[in-house]
Amino acid sequence: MRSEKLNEILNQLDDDIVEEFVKKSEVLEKQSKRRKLLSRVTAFAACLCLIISAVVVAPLLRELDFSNWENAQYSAEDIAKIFNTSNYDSTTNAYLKKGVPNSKYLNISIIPNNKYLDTYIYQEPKHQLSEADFRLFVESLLTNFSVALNHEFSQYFIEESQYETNKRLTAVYDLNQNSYVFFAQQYQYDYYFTIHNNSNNGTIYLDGEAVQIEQGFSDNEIIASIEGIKNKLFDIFGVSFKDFKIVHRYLLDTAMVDIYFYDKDAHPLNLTQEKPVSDSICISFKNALSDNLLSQSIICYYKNRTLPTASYDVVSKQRMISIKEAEKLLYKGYVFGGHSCKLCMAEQDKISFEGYDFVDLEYVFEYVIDPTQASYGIPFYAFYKQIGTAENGNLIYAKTYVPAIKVRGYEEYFESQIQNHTAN
Amino acid sequence: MVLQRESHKNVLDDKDIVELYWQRDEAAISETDKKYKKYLFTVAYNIVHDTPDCEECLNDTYIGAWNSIPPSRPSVLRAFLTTIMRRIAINRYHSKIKKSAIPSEMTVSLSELEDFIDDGSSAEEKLDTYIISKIISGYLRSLSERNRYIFMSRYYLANTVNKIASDLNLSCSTVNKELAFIRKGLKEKLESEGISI
Repeated sequence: MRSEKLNEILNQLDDDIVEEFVKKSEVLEKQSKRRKLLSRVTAFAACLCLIISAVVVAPLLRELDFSNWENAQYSAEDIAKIFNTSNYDSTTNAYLKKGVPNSKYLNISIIPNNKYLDTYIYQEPKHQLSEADFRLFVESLLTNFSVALNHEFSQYFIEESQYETNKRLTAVYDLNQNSYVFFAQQYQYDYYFTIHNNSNNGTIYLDGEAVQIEQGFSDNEIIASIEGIKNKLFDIFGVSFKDFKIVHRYLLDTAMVDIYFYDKDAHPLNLTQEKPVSDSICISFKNALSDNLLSQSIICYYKNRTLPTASYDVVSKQRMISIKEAEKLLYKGYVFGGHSCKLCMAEQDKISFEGYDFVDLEYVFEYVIDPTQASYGIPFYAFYKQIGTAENGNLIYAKTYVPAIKVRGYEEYFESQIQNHTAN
Repeated sequence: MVLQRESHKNVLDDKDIVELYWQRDEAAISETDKKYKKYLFTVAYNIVHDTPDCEECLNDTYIGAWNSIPPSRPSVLRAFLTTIMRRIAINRYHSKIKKSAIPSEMTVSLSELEDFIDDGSSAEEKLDTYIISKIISGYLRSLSERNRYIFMSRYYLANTVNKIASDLNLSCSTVNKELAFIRKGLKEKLESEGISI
């Protein structure tokens, strides 16, 4: 009886309450259906992810066991040579120090989303040295600079010398003179010309206009401020470049700013290299960090004797490893860079790159002169971690390199380095 | 997929179905069946727990609607049909329960409330029923929308705790806690109104 009475009571509940409930139940029913559908879709997506992980990610993870890296073209020992480290120098946990006013001066570029990366061989085409050509090159530039600098260059001498395995002609104008000094050389593969001022605190004046920039200027402001200087240099060197690149480098108490004028599309490596590999003009400033006006400069001109595309050959296309893979190498201490001196290495504090601040992609062409007199250009991930602040407020970053391609023999090489380091 | 969409497209609005009832067009029943059969069947099944009985309840509901409209002109047809179906299913439930105990969610849900209500058999019983239903309506209005839904779903339609939890995306334990809270509040409300428990 009680339940009958209860039901009768519920039957007599106010209509609006029943209506509200029925409407709400209709809405909830629809939502519930959607949720069920969504959960099915989510479950399906999760299954799909698992399958993709099994097919794609798992092999990648397995690769970090280095088991299928053994066929890689380069060994860890080859890579160490790029940084001029021998078997007697430990490279474990090696890093360089870089001080900058703020992180934008690290010039971090966007990591390309490539499947493969080129490796290069730099093989300089050998031209016969030609004193007549070299003299012509020097004479024409000196004539132009004489007018612009309002300076009469006196006698200079040309001599042939050996530089590493290459021959060169050098022309130097009286280094002791307390005024403008030039230096020029002709290698078998390129020309190089620089000019600086031993007087006036190193400031160069072109047609009476000082070559100087404000340290606080943005890159575009810098370029706008030296538009006139740029055009004069184009006239003097008889060239015209459409692009520019400004590289800021900071030591603890010195500010260095290099302004390059070049053609970006003249070579693919121009995109990744700090210094253009194609023909370029560079104004290189170096002042005390406290100087607002950077006015102490050297003007340089670099001219290939053959097209850079002939010098830099693509050796191979290697699969680009992911940043995640590179991080695993980084955290294992399989890194390059830093000091080549074992004593310095021993004294260098070990740091952890866990939670690093930036990662960049950079090609390194260094010092590898094999019997064919070629050097190799290898792409690296460059990891930055802030490790302190200098007295002048500059941020100090540790920078270390991990190859951005597969490399064989990591474990053997780094194990041997630890043993060698301990033994020495 | 196309067929489903087509059939969904052919379902009439409640207003049109009510209009058919008013025009005494028998299509009103087939349209009601098309639109609400599944829902009404669920309401009935929660109470009587027997498929043939549900079918009969369903037919009785359609006849009930046919006889009530006109003169009624329900603003929410679904609620109107629910009320009819509930009454019919509960009558069937009571007639069956007298014969034998049937495993119904209604039995379980009502047992939770039975302690509150005196099984009065006095002459004032009918008046009591009316007054209590008004007190409960008032109490339900004082609840949050969610708790009102939980109460109605559990005790009006005899839905399972699982179903309520699923509808509201809650855990069963949360629903149980809320039900206990609602029952406690209802008990206090009835006591304060002098309803014998």
